[in-house]
Amino acid sequence: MKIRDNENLVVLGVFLALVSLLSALVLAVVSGFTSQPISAAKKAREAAALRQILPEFDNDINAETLTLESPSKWSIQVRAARKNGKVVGYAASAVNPAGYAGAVKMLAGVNPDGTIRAILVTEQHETPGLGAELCKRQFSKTIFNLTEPTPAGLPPNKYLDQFNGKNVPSGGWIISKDGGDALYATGATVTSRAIAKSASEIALAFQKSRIQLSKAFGGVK
Amino acid sequence: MKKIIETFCKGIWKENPVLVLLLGTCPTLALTTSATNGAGMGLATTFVLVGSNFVISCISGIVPRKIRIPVYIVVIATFVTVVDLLLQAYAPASLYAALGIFIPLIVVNCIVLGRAEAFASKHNPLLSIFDGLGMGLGFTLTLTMLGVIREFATSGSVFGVKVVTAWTTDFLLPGSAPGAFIIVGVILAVRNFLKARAAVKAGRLYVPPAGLDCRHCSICSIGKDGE
Repeated sequence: MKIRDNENLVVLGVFLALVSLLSALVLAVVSGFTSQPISAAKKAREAAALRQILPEFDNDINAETLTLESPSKWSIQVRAARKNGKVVGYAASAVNPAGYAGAVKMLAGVNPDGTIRAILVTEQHETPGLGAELCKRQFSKTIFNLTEPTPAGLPPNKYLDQFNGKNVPSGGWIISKDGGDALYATGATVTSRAIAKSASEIALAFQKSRIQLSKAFGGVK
Repeated sequence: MKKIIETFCKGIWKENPVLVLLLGTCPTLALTTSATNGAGMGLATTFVLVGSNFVISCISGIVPRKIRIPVYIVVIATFVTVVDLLLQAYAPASLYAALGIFIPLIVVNCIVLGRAEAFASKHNPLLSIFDGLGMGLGFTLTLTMLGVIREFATSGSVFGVKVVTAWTTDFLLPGSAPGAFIIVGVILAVRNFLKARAAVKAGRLYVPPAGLDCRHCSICSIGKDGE
């Protein structure tokens, strides 16, 4: 009897197991030789993001890390960027679990005085076209500037840039729909809230952990 | 040779996966918010479709009929994961950023399984590759077209380039899922109207392409038991 018409359950089970085993083998081989390049690519992406949000620095930024606790008990990962041994800024990453679709991960460059320098959303699953637009940094192109070269630096985003250099109010930034004065986008209220909340948590964590920060990173090295 | 060209071309218009077969409606509605997204999803699917069609056409002779669907799913899932890993490792960061989110979605795209079952398992590997190419291209073109329409209707831009510069406030309906349904519905209606009118003009009844109605399709067993 041909295997095509076989209806014996054991034979079918063994066949399926063999196919799965073969597929597992293929995946193991591919994952084996791609794991190195993948982690390298991830590191390169991360380094590019850090260069965008921080002033020029020359230390190994992953060497010194500190975990701060924000007012809402989130843990904020802080890394110090130094130039000639002097702290020129911090990179702070926070995960807000309350996005519209899952967590919103944020990476913020923080000035030495604790104000926010620039914000990037590094991972989000918000609605494309609505919430996702608020997290995206992209130079806007029109038919009139299509041929011009892309300007250097961080593309502007008014929802992410609104916190830059500002002192955080004691209760954090609140979007105007909820009675505060932070910008929000119609149709993407939850995402707007998540961004304002993440920015506030980072800024507030820096505000209340001044001593902890200067203990960990203070002094010229 | 003629058969190859025919197989290749039918996916683009005559048996267009989105507009005629109505396969893969989920990515069609979810991912065509912009032209770039539509084209990206289309290209990623084309790649997987060609690969899975080839592999399945090669192995279809030895796969027991009873478990063919699970076997095909394993093959497709493996293919998608391999593509995902390779893209992560070797594609430029910008390409992965644009395509990466679509890759895992391809596993559940029923165009891939649909073509494996309806075409690749019954034809030789070469024809299957061209079927995958044609279907993939049809899918890509349709998704890009939808993306262009929706992106333009939402914000007056095409491929991320603002064409109507005075358009500052987004119109949210075409960008949302209900808007996508409405647009796809209108396109389907227009396509069917044109087909039916052409048939009436030629003096015959409009019949769907052979093999595409429920009686001839083999994707499920409805109506097959009596045969």
